[in-house]
Amino acid sequence: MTTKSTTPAPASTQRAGASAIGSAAGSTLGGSPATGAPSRPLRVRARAEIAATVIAPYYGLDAAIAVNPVLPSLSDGFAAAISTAAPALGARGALSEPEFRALLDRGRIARSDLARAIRRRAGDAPTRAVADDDLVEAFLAESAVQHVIAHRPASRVDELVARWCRAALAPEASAWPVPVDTMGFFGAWRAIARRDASLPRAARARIADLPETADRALAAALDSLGVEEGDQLDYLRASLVRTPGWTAYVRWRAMTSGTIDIVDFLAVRLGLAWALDETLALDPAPALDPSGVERLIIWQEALEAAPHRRVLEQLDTTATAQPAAAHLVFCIDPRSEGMRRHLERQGAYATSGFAGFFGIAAQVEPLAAAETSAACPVLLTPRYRVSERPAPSAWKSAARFVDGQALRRAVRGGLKAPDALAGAPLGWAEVSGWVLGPTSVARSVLAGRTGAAGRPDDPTTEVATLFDIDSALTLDAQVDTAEVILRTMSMVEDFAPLVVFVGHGTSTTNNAFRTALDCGACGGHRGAPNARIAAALLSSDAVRAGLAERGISIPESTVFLAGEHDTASDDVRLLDHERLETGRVAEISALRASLDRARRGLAAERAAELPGAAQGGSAAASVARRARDWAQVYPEWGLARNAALIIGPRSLSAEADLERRVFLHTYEPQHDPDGTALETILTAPLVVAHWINAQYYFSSVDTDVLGAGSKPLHNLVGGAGVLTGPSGDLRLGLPWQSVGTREGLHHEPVRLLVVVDAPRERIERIVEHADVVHDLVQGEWVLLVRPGENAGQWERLTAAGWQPWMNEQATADETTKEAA
Amino acid sequence: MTASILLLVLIVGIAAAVLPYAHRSLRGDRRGPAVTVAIAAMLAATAVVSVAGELWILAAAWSASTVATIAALALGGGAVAVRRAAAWLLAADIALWVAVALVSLDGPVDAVALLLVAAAIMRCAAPPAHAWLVDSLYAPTPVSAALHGGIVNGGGILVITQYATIAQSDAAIIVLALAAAIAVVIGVLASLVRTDVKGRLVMSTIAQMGFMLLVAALGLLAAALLHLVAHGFYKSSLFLSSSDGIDRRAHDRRAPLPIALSAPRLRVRALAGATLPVATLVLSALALYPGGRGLAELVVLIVIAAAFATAGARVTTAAPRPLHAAVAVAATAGAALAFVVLTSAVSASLALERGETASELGASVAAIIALSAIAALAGLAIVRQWAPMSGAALRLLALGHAVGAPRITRSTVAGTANPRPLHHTMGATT
Repeated sequence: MTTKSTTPAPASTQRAGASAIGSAAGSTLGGSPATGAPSRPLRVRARAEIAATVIAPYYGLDAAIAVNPVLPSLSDGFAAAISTAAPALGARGALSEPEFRALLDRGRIARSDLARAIRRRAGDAPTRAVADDDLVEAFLAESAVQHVIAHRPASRVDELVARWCRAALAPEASAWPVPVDTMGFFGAWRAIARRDASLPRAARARIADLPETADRALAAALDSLGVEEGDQLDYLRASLVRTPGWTAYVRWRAMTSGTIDIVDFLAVRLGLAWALDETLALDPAPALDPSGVERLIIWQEALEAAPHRRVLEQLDTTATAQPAAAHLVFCIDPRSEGMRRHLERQGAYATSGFAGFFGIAAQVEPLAAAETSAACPVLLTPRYRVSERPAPSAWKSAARFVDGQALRRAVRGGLKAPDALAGAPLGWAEVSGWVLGPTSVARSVLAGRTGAAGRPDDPTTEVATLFDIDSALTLDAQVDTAEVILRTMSMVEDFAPLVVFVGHGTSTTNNAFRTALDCGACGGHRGAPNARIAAALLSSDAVRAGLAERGISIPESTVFLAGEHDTASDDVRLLDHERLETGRVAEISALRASLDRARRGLAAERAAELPGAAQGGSAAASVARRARDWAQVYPEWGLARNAALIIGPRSLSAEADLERRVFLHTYEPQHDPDGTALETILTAPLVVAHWINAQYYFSSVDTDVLGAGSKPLHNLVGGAGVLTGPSGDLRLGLPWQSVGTREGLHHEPVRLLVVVDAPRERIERIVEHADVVHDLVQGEWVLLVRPGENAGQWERLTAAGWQPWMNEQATADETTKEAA
Repeated sequence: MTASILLLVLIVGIAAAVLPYAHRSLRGDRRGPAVTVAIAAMLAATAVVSVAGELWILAAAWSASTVATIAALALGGGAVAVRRAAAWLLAADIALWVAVALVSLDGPVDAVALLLVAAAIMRCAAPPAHAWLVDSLYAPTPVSAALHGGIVNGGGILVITQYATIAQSDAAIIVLALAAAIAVVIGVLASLVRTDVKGRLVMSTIAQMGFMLLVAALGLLAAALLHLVAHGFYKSSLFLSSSDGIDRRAHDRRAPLPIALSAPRLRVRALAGATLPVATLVLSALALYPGGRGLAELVVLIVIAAAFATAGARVTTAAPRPLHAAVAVAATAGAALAFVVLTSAVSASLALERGETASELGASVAAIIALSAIAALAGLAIVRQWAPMSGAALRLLALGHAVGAPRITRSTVAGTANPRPLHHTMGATT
């Protein structure tokens, strides 16, 4: 750390906690500690920024983004997440040993897999002579690992910080907001808190004495609390992890809106701590000892062995692709795997996987919408804006549509308007109760049997629209974009007569976490706009001519279409097919019929896993109905149980049933000799897949701190996130209903197995050069394997180079045990 | 139709909305089935409260509903949900049972009336008893829906059915009116400033229950009952749909920007949108409302008119075209007319006499308190609109956000920041 103090070690009494500080209660503000001059605001600011890296930003729920909560510690590796990064947040970084042992008892972890994990971690020599069973027994006989989680009951300052964050970080959700817009986060707090009759008088006086700017106030509060220069970083970090949720959300707001930063937040927190004489004891950072971490990783590897083996043993490195009547490109999302598998059974359909934004990193403006949205991965910044416009013949219906939207907005505004006037809701309840009562009875009793599963951003069906690419991009830029899309998709020859880009989104009702089920590659939005833009781009004659000059010739008979997969109902809707010439109608109807059969098959498969869903013939209807049910907390499983990412041709997995657990990114190594496409895949889709995998992992291993808790307890704060109950910290991660059922975890917290069908050198070069890929692979956040010399063999890239993958053989008795 | 039947319609309706919802929404929670059973018991006991003929039967059913409520809170939310709630709920039970005992002993009527009022105030979560309803948010959504649609109404039912006893004591009427007025003002302020959806709903219930008690204190028993029933439906429905906030926001982002109208046009539209529905409301009420035409009725009319005025003004100013605006005005006015027709018909059939107090003193003081509450609400609206940066506004913001929060003193440690009421671990280990 560059911020280490140059002053001598502080007198220990200054950091001994409340007792020592309490005696200083009457001292004047800004009184410097024994060692010297007041802290300089700039230096304090730098320390605050470093302290903030204790947790990754939290993106809120308007457009939820899956993140690894300990992302700033990515380069320290997976083991460090278990030993220090998660414990620093008061969280567990792995399942507990009792949970692992229960999985062993249930047969979910095979004893042979545990033995193999022990051998692998211990090295070959000491374990060679020992039988599996003895090895396992010896391992189990050792004492279990105790997780170190500091139990932290909330203090008065925690409560007050949470109260202020709730008020000031979602002011738009209140009829009478606190004046953060004009006074800033810290300024508004200072102005209000000094007049807060619920605070002791002395505390109010101290708040009134704080400097007016946040950085000076923070420096002054640090000094007044007697925190020495050398302890400041630790002290600030310890302060931030008292409310990890609000800290993470403030980080995101600092990144995006810029109206608040971590110094404002810390100034409020430490201002309150000073006002109320509440200091934090600087205990040594909680950490798990290395042998404990090692033990948990052995368990973790034993848990991962079965699902990873199940993926690899189904892959066929010798198969080749067949010509197809239609080619559908889906998102890499594991939910697409189910749809692709069921669709391919319906006929001569080829499918491939690509990040669901289809290379369109655009700011998308829906027809006449008030706001645009960045419909691309958060790793990218949109560089152009594409607007949805009415088709030339559809101006009249478009005007009607816009009027209808405005009228609905007016009615919604009217129904909500009395809430904002003091006293008016008293009368309004009396009026609207007579309507809401029967409505809610109908919604609960009918459980989604009537009505349509709508989304606020549903595309208009009554207006023909198109996306205006020509205003967004020059022809050259269009050709560039199209070429990148096709090359990264390895789609450069043998075009099928019909190519469909299928985005995805979900239709659920009354679900605060809906956007967490939308397309992550589209920045937590639905995928239809991106699919339509990509299809429009590749339908343009000028773009095709440009592509032909660059060696990609698309036959004239090939048409590009867009579609969208509703992951709650498994309905795939084809978009924009009206503009096709009539000769293609039969093709389209055949595809639609196949998609409908695929929907029914996939819905039945999913219904078996959804708590309370009907099975058998009515499964598809039941699954669709649940999306419309306001009481439904399990509309779909999202990306739960995700376990692997396959980067290779579809022929590799064509015959496999990967159980919706695998991200599939199409990659044809022979079309990418220089590795450009692979580098893009490993630095973007792999990172996104890891973030998702890590979010599900941490939400499962610590459902209290890194998961958001049970849905019926949630209390939405604007678009920021949810609280549990009336107050407290913002909840991070995914709700319990995304990872578990009443019976226990549904998601298996396993790391991502990344299968790359590419030559060794190509992979090595990218891992060497791209820091993020290096951190992921060498930090063991993901397990990267490639096909070995012989069919059915695999090798893994480790710190020591390529090692044979040793998970193949499961003995017969274990297979039966697992099945049981 | 009698009051009991209307109340049964409410309770059965709430049960039909909440129980299926609870069954499905608690499917991920290990204690889900137990919580659902507890909710059913809460509502069943409340149904008995609404039909009880004798005070002791009412008290017995009331206590049964208290037990069921505490069970639902404890099962669904754990200790943090139940700590303050149990204390206030049980205090109300004690007040009620002492009143029952005094009645059977022919005790002083003032004491009986005051005890009944105290029980009602605590059940309706009027300050200082409001903390219990705030903490109930640690329990799952369907529990809240049943609480706000059913349990809190116990206080209103008590006051309405025992009004003859309560009205014999001026002190009881004045205490009731005062506590109710404070609940209205505090609840309205807090619901205006809160940003969290459930917090807003709780604060609004405090205000609504206060308003209902205030109306009852003024003797308008039929109006109080209608308010209680309509609010029960309203609030339980809002709780059940409390997770749709993200979709609401997405709707607003998706909709076109409001059309910019010139200031005069805006004024004309707002004026028309506010006055036509209000005029319809007032005229139809004068023509149809079966009750009296006194000050108490005026208070009720003012708050309903305020609601129609704001709704009408908003929908007309935001309507995209003049024709739409005209239709919106007409629809709002039509809703006002329909509302008056419906409530007048129901009021007429309720067979609830206008409550009369024993002396003029209680009635007059209650009326003054009610008018003061209305004036205070107007004051809040004025400060918010025209002096949002004043010291008074900042003090009110601080006050509003502190309502119901654990008390901050120098020595206490508040509840847990991250309560873990429904603790989940892997099934096999527990």
